[in-house]
Amino acid sequence: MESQTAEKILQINKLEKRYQSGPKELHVLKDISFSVDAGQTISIIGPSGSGKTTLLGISAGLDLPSSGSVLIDGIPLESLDEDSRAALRNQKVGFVFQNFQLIPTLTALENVMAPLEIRGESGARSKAIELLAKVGLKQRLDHFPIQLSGGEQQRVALARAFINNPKLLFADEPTGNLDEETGSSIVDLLFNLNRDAGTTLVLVTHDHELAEKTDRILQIKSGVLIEKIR
Amino acid sequence: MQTRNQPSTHSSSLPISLGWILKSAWRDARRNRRKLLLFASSVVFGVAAMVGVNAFRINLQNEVQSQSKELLGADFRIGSRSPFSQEILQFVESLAPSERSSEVSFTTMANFNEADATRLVFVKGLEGPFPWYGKLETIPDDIHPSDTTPEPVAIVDEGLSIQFGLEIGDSVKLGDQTFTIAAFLKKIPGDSPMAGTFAPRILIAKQHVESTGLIKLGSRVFYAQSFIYPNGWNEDKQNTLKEIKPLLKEQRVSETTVQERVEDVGETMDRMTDYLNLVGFISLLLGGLGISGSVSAYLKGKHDTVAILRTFGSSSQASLLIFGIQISLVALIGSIVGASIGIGIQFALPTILASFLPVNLALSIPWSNVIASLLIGWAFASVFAYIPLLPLRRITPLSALRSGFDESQPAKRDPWTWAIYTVICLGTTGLSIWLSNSLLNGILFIVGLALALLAIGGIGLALRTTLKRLSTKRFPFALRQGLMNLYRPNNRTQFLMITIGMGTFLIYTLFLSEKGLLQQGEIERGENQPNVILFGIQPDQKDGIETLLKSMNLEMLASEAIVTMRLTAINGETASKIKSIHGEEVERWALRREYRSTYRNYLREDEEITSGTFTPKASFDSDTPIPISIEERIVEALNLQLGDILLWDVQGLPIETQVTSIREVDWKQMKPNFFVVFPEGILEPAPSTFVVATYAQDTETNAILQKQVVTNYPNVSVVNLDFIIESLSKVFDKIAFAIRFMATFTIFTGLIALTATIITSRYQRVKESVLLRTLGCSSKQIRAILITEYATLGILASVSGILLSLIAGWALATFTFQVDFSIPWTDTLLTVVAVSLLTLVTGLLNSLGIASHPPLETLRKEA
Repeated sequence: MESQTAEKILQINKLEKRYQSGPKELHVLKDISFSVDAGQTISIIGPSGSGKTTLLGISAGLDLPSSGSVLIDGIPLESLDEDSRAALRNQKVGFVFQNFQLIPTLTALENVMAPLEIRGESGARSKAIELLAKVGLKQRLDHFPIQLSGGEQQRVALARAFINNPKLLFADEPTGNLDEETGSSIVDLLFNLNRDAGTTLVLVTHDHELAEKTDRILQIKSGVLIEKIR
Repeated sequence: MQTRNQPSTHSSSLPISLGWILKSAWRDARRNRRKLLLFASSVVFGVAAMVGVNAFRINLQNEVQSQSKELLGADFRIGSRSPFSQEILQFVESLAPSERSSEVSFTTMANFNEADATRLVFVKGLEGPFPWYGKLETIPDDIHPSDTTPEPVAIVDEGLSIQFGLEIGDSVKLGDQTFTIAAFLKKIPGDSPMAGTFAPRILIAKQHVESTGLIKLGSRVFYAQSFIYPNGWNEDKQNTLKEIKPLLKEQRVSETTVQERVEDVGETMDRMTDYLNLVGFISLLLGGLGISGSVSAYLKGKHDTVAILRTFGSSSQASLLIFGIQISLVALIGSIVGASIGIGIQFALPTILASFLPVNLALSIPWSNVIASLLIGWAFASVFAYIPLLPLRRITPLSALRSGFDESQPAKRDPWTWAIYTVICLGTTGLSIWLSNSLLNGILFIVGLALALLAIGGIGLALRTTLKRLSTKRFPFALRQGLMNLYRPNNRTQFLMITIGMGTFLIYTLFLSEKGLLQQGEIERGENQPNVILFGIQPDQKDGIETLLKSMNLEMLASEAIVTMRLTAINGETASKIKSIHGEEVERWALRREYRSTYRNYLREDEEITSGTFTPKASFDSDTPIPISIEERIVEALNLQLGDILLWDVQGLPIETQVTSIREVDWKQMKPNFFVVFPEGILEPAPSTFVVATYAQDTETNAILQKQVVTNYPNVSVVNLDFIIESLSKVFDKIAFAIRFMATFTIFTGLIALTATIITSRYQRVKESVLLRTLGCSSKQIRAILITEYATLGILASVSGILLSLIAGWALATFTFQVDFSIPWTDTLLTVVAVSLLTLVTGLLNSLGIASHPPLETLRKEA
C-alpha cells in the first residue's frame, strides 16, 4: 500500500466545492477523484467557468475543499493549517500563472531567488542565475518586471517555479496572456525544464493543442471530471 | 535543504529567517521611496513637538529646582496689606533668623525731571540685605538701595531708561522727595517675570519712603519681611509655622517658603507646557491618522505581492512582518528626524517664552527624555500603521490565482484588530494623560476626540448612504461618475472624511481656543471710553481735580469714592471659618481679600441688575441691615443669594448689610468697577479716596494732565490706559505667537496627512481614469470627475470639521475661558473654502498627467 501511494504524487478523493453566492449555493466541483503519478504530465481542460482553476487551486493547497481530501506526496492537506500548507508548497510545489504574478518591486533575479530565500537556503543566487540563463535571461537579471516583455516575464516565472526543485508543478493557462509565437516558446521551455527536472506537471488550459502534449487529459464540465481516453 | 528523497512528512510552517524578512522589506522599499518618505513626514512634526516641549519642560523643571532659592531670594517671607502686628513680629523673631529685611511697596506717579515725563510706577522701599539668594541685577553691577549713602537714590527699571532716555545721575521725583538715579534694574529675585510690565519698578531705601509723603490714609501699601536662617528652612520651622497659620490667616498675613514658591512657579510653568503639549499631541494624532490612511492605501497595492509570497511558502506572519518592519523603520526614521527638529524647538521655546520664564534657562539636551519621547512617538505611529497592516495576514494565496478574489475573514471578527484598537485607545488616553499632566483633562480630551471622530465618521457614512440612494441618472456623466466614486467599492471616502474632517476640526478648535484665550484680555476701546484713570485722590483734593479737568476741557466720565473694607461674617458665621455657604464650597480669595467698595444712588449704564432691586439711599436709623448690591463674580465665588447677611469691617467699624441686588458688570470697559456698591447715606463719613476717569483725546493732553496732577497732587496716581492696553496686547501677542508656533506643527502635519492619503490612493485613480480614457473619455471629462469627487469630499469634510469645532469652541469659551462666544464668520468661511480648495488642489495635482498622457504610458509608469 505504502509503495503504491509513494508513486502517487497527487491524490484527489471525492472532492466537492461549494460557494455561497447570496442566497444561492454554487456547486462548483462535484465528487472529483483522480491521482497523478510522479513524473507524469497531465492537463485539465474545460470551458470557462467549468471549475478548472478552482480544482487547480484546491489541488495545490491554495484553497480548501468543502469536502473530500487532497494528498500531496502522501500528505493530507486538510490536516495542515494555512502556514503549514505554505511551507509544503515551498518545498514540494511550483507555480506558473497566466498573468505571470511576478513581484513588481523585485528584480528578475530576486523574484527567482524568493522561494529559496523564504526557506533560508543558501546558494539561491547562483541557482537563480543558472535558471535565468537556462530561460535565456542572463542579461536581464537586474530588470524589474515592468521593464520586461510578457514573454520574458513568463520566463522569469518559469525559472522561479523550478528553483525549489518542486515535485509537482501547477501551471494555470501559462500561455493565456501571450501571443502564439511567444506562447509556443514558453511551452517548449516549460516541457523541457519539466523533463530535465523530472517534475510532475499539472496544467490547466483551454488550449486543446497544448493539452495534447501531456500524458493524460482530464476534462471538466460543469464541475464533473471525465478522463479523456486517447 | 529538503530534496525529493526526503521522507514525505510535513506538519509545521517554515522557520523564516529575520534576515530574509529584512531583505524583503528593503527590496520592496527601493521602489516606494517617495511614498515611504511621506509616511515618515507624517510622524516628523508630532514627534518634534513632543520632544521639543518635553525637553523644554524638563530643563525648566531642573532650573526651577536648582534656582529654587532665587525664586524667593530668602528662606521665608511674610507679607500683608497692613503693618505687621506685635504678635506676628514676635512669631517671626521666635524662629531666630540670622538676618532680616523689610520692604514697603506701593504704586505711585514718578516725575522724571530731565525727561520731562511722568509715569505710574511701582515703588519698593527696601531695608536690609535682601536678596540672600541670587542678586539684584543692576547696571552698573552690585548696586543696592540700602548700601548707598544717606542721600536719597533710586534704582530704576531698565525699561524706563529706554522709554525716557534716562541716564545715571538723572533725578526722579516720588511725591515730595527727589531721588538721584544710581542704577538701572534688570531683575529682582522673587519677582515674577512679568513684574514691571504695567508699572515699572523703582527701588529706594525704606528710610526714604516717609519723606515722599505718599503713604496716607487709604493708600494701597504692601508690607513684607524676608528672612534667612542659620540652617535654612527646616522641618521644625515648618511645624512651628503650621501652628501659627490660623493667626496668620486671621490677620491676613501671607507666608511663603522656598518650597511653596517652587510649587507655585512649577504649577504655572506646567500649565503653560501642558497646553503646548496638547497642541503637539494633536499633531501626533493627525500624524497617526495620516500614516494609518496612507499605509492603508499603500498596502492595497501590495495585495498581489503578499498573495504571491504566500503561494511560495511565506507564512502570514512573515508577510505581515515584511511590511510591518518596513513601515516601522520608516516611522523610526521620521521619529528621529522629528526628535532632531524637537531639539531645535527646545532651543527656540525659551526665546519665544522668555517673558514668562521665572528662571534663566541654561539649555541642555535631556537625552533620556528625548529618547523616551522619540520612542513613544515612534510606537504611537507604528501602532496606527498596524491597523491597515493586520489585514495582510488574511490575504489568501488563492488571490494570486484569481485576481480580485478575497474571501478573507472580515476585520471585525479578527481579535488582533480589536487588540490593536484597544492598544490605540489605551495608549492615546495614557499619552494624553501624560502630556496634559492631568487624569481628568487627559480623559476629557480623549473623550472629546472620540466623540468628534464618531461624529465625522457618522457624517461620512451618511454621505455614502445618501449618495447611494440619490438618483443621479439625470446628472451629467462627469458629475454622476464623480459622485459615484464616493461610494463605489474601494472608495476612500470614509478615510478622507476622517482625515480631512478631523484635521480641520483639530486645527480650527486650536484657533478658536487661541481666540478665546486672547479674548480674555480684550478691552473695549472707543471715544466715550475713559483712557485715563486718576486714583488715590484724597477727599480734600477732589474739587481741585475736577477744576483741573474742566480747565483742560476734559470730561469727567466717572467719579467714585473708594472705601476699603473686609468681610467679617456671612449669615452670622465668621468669614475665616467659612468653608461652604448654602451647601456649596466657597472660593477662599473672596473671603480674604480687601474689598474696595463704593457708594452711590444710581446704577451706571454699563451695569445691569440681574436679580433683586437696587436701593439708592439708606441710613443707619432703621435697625435693618444696609441693602447692598453685589457683583456676579463674588456671588458665584461665595455662593451668595439675595437676602444673605454680610458683616463688614469698615476700617474698624462693623456694618451689617443684606444682599438686595445682584449686578452684572461689563469688565471689558476700563472704568473703575466695584464688587460691592453701598447706597448713599452710609459710607460717606468713612475714610475714603476717590477715583476719577476721563478721556484725553491725544498723547499730548494726556502728558499735560499727568504732569499737572503729579505736580499739584503728588499722591494721586494716573493710569494711562492706552499704555496698559498696549502692554497687555504685547503680552497677548507673545502668548499668541507661542501658540501659533506650536499650531504650525499641527497644520504641517495636517497638510502632510492630506497629501499622503491622496497620493497613496493615486494608483487606484490612475487605473480608473485609464480605463475611462480607453473607453473614450476626454481629458476634460476626467478632470471634471476628479473635481466633483475631491470638491464634494473637501466641502463635506471641512464643513463637518468646522461644525464640530464651533461646538467645541463654544464649550471652551463658555466653560474654560468664560468669555462670550460668537462665530467668527469670516474666519469660518475662509477655513471651509481653504480646506476644500486644498483638498481639491492636492487631488488634482496628484492626478496630473493622468488625463493628458496616453493610457498605456500612464499605466506602465504607475505600475
